[in-house]
Amino acid sequence: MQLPGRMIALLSLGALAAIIGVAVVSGQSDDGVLTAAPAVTPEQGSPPSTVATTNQASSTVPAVPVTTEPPVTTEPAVDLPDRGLHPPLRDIDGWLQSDVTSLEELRGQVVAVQFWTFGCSNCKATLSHMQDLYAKYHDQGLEIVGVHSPEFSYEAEVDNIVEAAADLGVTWPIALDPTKHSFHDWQEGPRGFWPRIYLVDRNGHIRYDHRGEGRYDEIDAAVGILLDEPAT
Amino acid sequence: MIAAIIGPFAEAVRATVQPCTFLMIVPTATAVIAASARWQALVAAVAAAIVGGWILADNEFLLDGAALRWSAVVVALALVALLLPLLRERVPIPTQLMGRPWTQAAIVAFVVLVATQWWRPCVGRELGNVLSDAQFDLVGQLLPMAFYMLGVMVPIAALVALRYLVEPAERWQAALSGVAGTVGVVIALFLVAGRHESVTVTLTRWTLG
Repeated sequence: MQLPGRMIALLSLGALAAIIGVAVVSGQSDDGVLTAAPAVTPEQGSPPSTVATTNQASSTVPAVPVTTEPPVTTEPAVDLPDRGLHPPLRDIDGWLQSDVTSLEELRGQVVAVQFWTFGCSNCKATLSHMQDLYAKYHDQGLEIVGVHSPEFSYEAEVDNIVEAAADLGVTWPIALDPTKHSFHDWQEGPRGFWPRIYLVDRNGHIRYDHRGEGRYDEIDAAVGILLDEPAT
Repeated sequence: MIAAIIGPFAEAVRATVQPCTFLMIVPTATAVIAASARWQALVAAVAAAIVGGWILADNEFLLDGAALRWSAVVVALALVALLLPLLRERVPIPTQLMGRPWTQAAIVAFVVLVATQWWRPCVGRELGNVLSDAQFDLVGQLLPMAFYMLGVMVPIAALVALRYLVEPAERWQAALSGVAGTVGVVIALFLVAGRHESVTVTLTRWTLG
């Protein structure tokens, strides 16, 4: 009776070791099959969130999909329903690397608002994409605002944020949100997530939202579309 | 379809060595080991983790502040209950029921369910996709979220498999259960004291040296 039990345990352990090995190896490359499949392909059309997001749009401003034709390039299709005017940034304790002191001053520009904290590994993983985005689109009217909402007390120290921003290559404006009031005001539900990116159009309306890493092609495409839209 | 479940599973396996997962996985491990790492405890832990993951994805509920502290009190008591069978020869308490595998599994399930609500997960690209889409299509994300939680539970499954492989002597098993349960109780008491941050940082240091 014991031998089969041990064999099953041994086989289970071997299988689990293999699973861990495959998972680790698959994570070595961002281009891995398991992790880097585009979130949305032209064949798939809009992601589930797109359709449903339309249902979530502000009742005062009708949702208007910006792109209705399938793209001719490999860039993902992306709909950008209007989710209404962005909430204000509340209880901001100062801005770093910025001449502006509110999002309202950036009206007329497309703004990527990213909630992050420098100790968060997933936030750091998005920064190379944010840098690419900034380099590609800043001159065309994109501004990035990194709202720094610390998870731990050491992440709330301004000196540590300044040092981390320099080390991580964060050159865009940083709004300090030590109380996390803005972090929770912007994110529906009781649980907020790091990182989280919102794209705000030239009129100050939220048009795109994503939690966590990834969907970089989709974000790029969305920024391009929003930059092509005129302010109204 | 396959990518939609394999991706979250693989990302979760990798996340088990990241500090943000420790506050979920360490209490889970202590509870399962305190329950003698039986397969019944593993089944209960996995089921509870999946349900806990769905609650997390739904994002309508959060254990925070006073609720977090009270939940930690109950978890500490639950872990003590798991340790009662170890004291059956010394303490005149009705331990027969507490020693039954499925009774212990039920207690483990409760601990794991609570631990998933203490958890602040690392939001990688796969979990990010699940959470982003769950805002609007929760039902559609239940399967990938379940596979994410299965991935998180892989080290726990490995612990249980190891236990059946090694089959430690009863006194060693009892010692392991006692130590694990005590560690779990200490973690819970830290949370009761409002030291959520200290627990996370300490777990990080233990694991990363």
